[in-house]
Amino acid sequence: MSNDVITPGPVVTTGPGTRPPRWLLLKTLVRKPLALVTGGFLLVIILASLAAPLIAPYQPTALDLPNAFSGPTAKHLLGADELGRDVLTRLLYGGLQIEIGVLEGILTVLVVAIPLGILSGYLGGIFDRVMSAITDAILAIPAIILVLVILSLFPNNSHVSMIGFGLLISPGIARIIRGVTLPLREADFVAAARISGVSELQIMARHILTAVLRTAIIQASFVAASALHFVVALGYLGLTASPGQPDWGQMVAVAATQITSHPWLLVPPGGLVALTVLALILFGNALRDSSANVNQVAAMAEPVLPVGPPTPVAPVKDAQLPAPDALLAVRDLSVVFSNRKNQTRIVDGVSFDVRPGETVGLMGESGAGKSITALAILRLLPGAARLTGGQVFFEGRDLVALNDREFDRLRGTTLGLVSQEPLSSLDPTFTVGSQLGELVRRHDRVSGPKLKARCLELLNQVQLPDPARVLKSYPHELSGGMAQRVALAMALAGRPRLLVADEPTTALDVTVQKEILALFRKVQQETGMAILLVTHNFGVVADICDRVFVMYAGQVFEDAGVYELFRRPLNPYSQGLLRANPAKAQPGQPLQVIPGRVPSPGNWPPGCRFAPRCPYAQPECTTRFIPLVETGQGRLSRCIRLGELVEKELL
Amino acid sequence: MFKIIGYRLLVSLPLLFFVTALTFFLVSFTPGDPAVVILGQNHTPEEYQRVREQLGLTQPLLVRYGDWLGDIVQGNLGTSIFNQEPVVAILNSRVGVTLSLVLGTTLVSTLVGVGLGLASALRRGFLATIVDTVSLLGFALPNFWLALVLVAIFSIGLHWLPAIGYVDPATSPGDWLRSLVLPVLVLSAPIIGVLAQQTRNAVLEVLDRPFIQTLRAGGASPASILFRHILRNAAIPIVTVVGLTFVGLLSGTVIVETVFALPGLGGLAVQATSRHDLPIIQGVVFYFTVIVIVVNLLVDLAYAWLNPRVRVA
Amino acid sequence: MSQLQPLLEVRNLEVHYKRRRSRQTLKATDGVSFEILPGTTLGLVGESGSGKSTIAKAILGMTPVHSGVIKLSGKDITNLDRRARRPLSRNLQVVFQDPNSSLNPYLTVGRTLAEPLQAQGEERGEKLRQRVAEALERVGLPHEAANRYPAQFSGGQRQRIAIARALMLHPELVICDEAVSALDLSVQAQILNLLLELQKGQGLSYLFISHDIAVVRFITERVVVLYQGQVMETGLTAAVTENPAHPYTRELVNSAPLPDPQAQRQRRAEEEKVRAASPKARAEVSGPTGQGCPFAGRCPYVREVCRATRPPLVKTENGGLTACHRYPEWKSSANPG
Repeated sequence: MSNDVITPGPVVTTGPGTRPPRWLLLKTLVRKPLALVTGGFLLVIILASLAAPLIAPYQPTALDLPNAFSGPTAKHLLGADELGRDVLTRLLYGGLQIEIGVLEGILTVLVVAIPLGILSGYLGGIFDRVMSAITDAILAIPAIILVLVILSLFPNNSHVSMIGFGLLISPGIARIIRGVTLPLREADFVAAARISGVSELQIMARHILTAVLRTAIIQASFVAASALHFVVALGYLGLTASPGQPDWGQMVAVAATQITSHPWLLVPPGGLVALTVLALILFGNALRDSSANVNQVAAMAEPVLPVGPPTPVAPVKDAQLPAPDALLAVRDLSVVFSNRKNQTRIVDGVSFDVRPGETVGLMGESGAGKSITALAILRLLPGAARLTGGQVFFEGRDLVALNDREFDRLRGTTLGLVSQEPLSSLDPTFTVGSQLGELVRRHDRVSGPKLKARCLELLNQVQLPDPARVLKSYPHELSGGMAQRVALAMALAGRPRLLVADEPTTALDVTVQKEILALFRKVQQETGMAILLVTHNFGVVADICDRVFVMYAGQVFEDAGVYELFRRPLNPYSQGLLRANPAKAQPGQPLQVIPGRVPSPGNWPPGCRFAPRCPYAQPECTTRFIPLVETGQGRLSRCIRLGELVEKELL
Repeated sequence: MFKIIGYRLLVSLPLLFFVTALTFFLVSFTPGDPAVVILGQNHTPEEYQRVREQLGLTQPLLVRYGDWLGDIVQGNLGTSIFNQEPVVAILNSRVGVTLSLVLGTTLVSTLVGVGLGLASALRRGFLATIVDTVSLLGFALPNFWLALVLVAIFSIGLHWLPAIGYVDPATSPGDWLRSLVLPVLVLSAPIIGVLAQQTRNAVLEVLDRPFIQTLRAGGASPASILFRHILRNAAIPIVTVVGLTFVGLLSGTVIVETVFALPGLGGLAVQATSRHDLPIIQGVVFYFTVIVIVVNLLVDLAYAWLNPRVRVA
Repeated sequence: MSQLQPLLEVRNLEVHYKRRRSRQTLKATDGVSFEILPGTTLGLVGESGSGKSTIAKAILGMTPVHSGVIKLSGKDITNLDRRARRPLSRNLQVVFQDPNSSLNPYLTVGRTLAEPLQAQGEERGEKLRQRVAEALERVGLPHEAANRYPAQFSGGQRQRIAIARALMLHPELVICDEAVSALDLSVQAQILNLLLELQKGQGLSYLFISHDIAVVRFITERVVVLYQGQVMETGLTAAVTENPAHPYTRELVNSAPLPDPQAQRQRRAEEEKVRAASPKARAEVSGPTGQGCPFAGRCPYVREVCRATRPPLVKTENGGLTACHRYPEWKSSANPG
């Protein structure tokens, strides 16, 4: 039985059992110390105020005139007020009313905002437009004014005013819920459910509500914090509480009258409010982080291993000396991604050369590390990635040793870049002329008509029709192909010696791809620059490259001239990839596939990283480091069974 | 550009209508009788009837609202029930205070908030922690309490700044500034944090966009990348946030003006609510709404200037 | 029983999109007709903006049809309302392009797979679990996969799950909308094999939508080539790709570089010779004029008539149809122009 039928990769378990991680959110939450502390604090506040009559040291109205204005003492832990009433007792007794107010606010928001948000996001149309107009109007009114009005309608009624408060902030929250719902309405899984005959109501309940609830829970902590502020402020203004009452806001108001003589009285009520709000927000943050983690945790089912001991350097070439005729010589380049917990190696000891005027392909599937290699050369690694070893020689000079300022001088003039997404690789807020001109001005130190002339020359060089109009255009007015031409013009502005092209045609239609590849060839003929092309597409490699480096799992697996590689790949991985290509297959006959999947960085198997998927693998393949070895005719391959396989004509 | 202004103003008219109508009807249902407020408890039924007619309270509600709308067109917002002065005159004498507060706060919080956010996006680590702490505290502390604490420290303890009151800039520009420092600080506290966080998020988002890579790889100067490209792109979401915080800011003035006894519109609204002075409340709401509309217009213009896609649409 | 009844029949399909803030309407598809016989695969191939995904949406009831008829097993399903469409789920299913967004990240795979059965009121309890396990097995995944969340699977595995869901109700027709486009080469081959195997085992029909001519050539028997919402050419896939009867098909086929440097460079050199011979400068894409051939703006063989009137679909020598005014001129010669 051949290996071509369905052979999926391993499914990795999250834990020993097979039970679904149903309370993933709660689990991840409990693991966070911050969530435990803040959640515990909130719980204590609530329980304490519920049990106030049992645990309070005094009666809330018990006077102790001799100790009036006493600061914190053993008798009055948090001091006593102007009538000697115990501050701690009054805080405990005042808590319940505050909590009820906050609860009323939250419930109002949840009851009003979630259905409205889901409906206007999911139904769209007129309902959505009317809701949006009402929301605009309500967001434009300072809420407190309307609550003042409500309060004169229902004097001293904190319940009505908190419900009013909830109603007034509901439109804002509903808008957030709508924002979450909107993309879900268009999501493929909703379309698939509908096509499977699931009713609209069920879709809203099962698919939309589950996603929305997470957002709503998190928003609830902010609503709670705002409601707490609000209910205390109403008490402070004397709108919902009278001076004698043990109300947190009133306690601040009373303290304000004594501010010159006894400022301490301000501290307990204000501090308590501030601490509670802090706890609410931090708890909400922890909640948000852990719900964001639910997916990550699930994805992390495959453990990310720490970087192991550095792999021994392959004794293939002298790792220090660049090849004499190379324009660019990369030696033993390694890149590590690090986050708080782990370090993950993604490029592992990559070496290759690019000669002047040559087009070299870095070819591989996603996760091979080819783009990161290219970005490492250009010193454009994303924040979490770090170059951990190796040299990059340009004409014999080690670029890794340069400081940032020295390296900046090479940008554009020595090394240029064209990247994958043509439209997003231009700044949407500036015209083409403005951003292209900026680079020309910097490289050529020209301005005025000379500047414009050079810009037009560059646009002509990339064969854009009507360059004068393109100069005045904004990126969103260009098609993908035009934008990629502009991006190339920007890369050419400093006349680079080496152009790094990172999947430059992947986002384009094939007919446009053909034109762009033809343009690369033309520009290369005119300027003599070398091109390092990162791609996953064998067709592109066959069309434009002179030499290819096939990458897999962070390593170079094969190095060959383009004709030689396609004629006879000398590595099981390159061979498998070429055979899996439907372009060469017999229609309707099963393709010869490579089983399994590319291992993600951090999950590279020991020994040969391709061994678990390799049809020729033997036990020895997994026990030791596999070097890249010379195979004659200037080719290199990473396979210890190479000689044997070639002999048996399996390769 | 004019198209945007015209469109925005046209859209704003219903908003003005909606907001004023809502307040008008809500307030008119409130218990408490302005005639009683004016006359006190001892009055004859004839006096009572006469005052009600003078105030126009005998008319049906809709007619009263219609009259009020008609008067606005002529720049007349009626007279205060409490002291018979024209509402426009009262509001105009106080709007300067509120505007000083609001503009001062916007200026301070935008400069500090955006600056902090930018710095923490580029340097992360320590600065990011500071921004998080500032924004957390700014949000957590109740504004009236923060005001009192600041007064206790800076006015009562250190005698650096006045505790309450407002000085007209015409009288003494220096004292005017000193009288604004604490209120502006209190109002800015929550906004600085919000803006700093939004700025940091926006800048980090822009930093990840491919065109930054294109520009860096193309050899653009780091200063130009930061100040021309990153700031401009990050400004688009920030401007929206500034516009949104503004409405909250107007709410804040109500409390801050009360705490600091500043003679502004917010404090007036609280007074007028307790006196059932309908024309004044409506006037304040009208002024606030106009301010919001103007701010929204400015936000839209800034947005269009920053984002060429909007300009075309 | 003289002729097999087509499983899916699309006649003169026209779908309009309204442009935002203008009264212009855009014809996303314009007079598209084709049919799929039971147990066969039809390819829809074209570049972005060709309307191929719009056709899928129209068939699936995700976008309103302006005019034309869509019939499934002889039954008119054009513009059915959502309630009336629900029973169709037993006949018609879909696999989307992006395996990340086609599965609800918050539901376990088991719940996702059970959903179609539950919606139809079929099975519950142990029986349901068994059906889910069978479905997973069909696409080569272990039973335990039912208890996990989509994030725990790779892109290729997620696409298997999406295929399993599509097959839960044993439909006759599955629409694959760029179903392998987002996958790496080695995984793409696995999924293509899976689709082939399932077709053999269950007599499925596919409407296979793709921009990749190599994939279409591999998996489809017949193909429809679309350009800007119009059919340029149809016919047996092998015939259409080997010997295109429309300049656009020719361009599409020749644009995809061959994974063979020798053949690719030879083809390129020949093309350059042809281009040098015809000095006509190729303009950037210009929108359809509304009247003529939509490809006229880019066509190297364009004549006046091409801009003036829309070419009708005419029979080609190898049994297909082509919409080209100049086809009769060169049908005997292999290389036009």
